[in-house]
Amino acid sequence: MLSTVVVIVSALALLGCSGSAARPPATQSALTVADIDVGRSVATDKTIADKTDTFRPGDTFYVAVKTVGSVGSAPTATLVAHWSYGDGQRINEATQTIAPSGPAVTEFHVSRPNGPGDGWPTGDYKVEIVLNGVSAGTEKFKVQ
Amino acid sequence: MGIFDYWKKEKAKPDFSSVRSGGTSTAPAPPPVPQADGDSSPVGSVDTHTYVVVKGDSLSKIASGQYGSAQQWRRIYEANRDLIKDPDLIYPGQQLRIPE
Repeated sequence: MLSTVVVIVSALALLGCSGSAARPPATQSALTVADIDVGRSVATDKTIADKTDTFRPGDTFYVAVKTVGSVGSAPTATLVAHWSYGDGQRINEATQTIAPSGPAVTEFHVSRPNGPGDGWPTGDYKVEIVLNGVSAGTEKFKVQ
Repeated sequence: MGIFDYWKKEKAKPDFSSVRSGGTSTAPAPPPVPQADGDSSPVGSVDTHTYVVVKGDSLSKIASGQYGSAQQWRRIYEANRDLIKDPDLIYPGQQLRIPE
C-alpha cells in the first residue's frame, strides 16, 4: 500500500515538474499584444463597445489593441494597423507611437465618407496589427 | 490573362483614396524627440498613416480626400520631401506619409 502511494506521489511530482518546466518564465516587462478586437465603436477606455465581424457600408471600422507590459529600456513602441480589402488591396496603414508602462489599449479607425457611390464596398476585409515590426495578429471581417 | 483582362481587373478595384483614419491610446505618448536642423521627416510621437498613390492622383486630390481641403497639399508635400522632388510629379505605388 505504501509503495503504491509513493509511486502515485512520484508520478504526480514528475508531471508537475514537467508541466512547469515547459512554461517559459514570465516576462512582465516585455510589451506584447494580448488581444485584438474589431467593432463599430469604442468606449471611453478605448475598448470596443460594439464588437462585430460584419459591418455595413456606412460603418467606421475600429480595431482595439490591448497590450500588456511596458516598453522597458526602449523609449517607445510602434503599433501599426494595416487595413486591406479582398485579395490584399491596401486601404490604409496607420501608425501610433506609444510608451506604455503597463496594460494599455490603443485604437485605430478608418472611415470612408458617405456620398454618391461611396461607402465601403461589400466583401472581405482584414486588419493586421504589427508591434515593433513584428506581426501580432490579424482580424478578418466583412461588409455586407 | 491578357492586357485587357488585367486592365479590367485593375479598373474594377475600388478607390480607397477618400478613406480617413485616426486613432488614440490609453498609453502615454512618448516625450517629444528633438529633430536635427533641416530634418522635416516625421519622428517621435507624430502620428502618420500611409497613403498609396493611385493613377490620376495629385497632392491636391489626396489632400482633399484626407483633410477635406485641397489647399492642405503642402502638408503632405512637406512630410514627404525625401520622396517628392517635384510636387507636380507623384507616381502610382508611391507610399506617402500623411500627417494626422
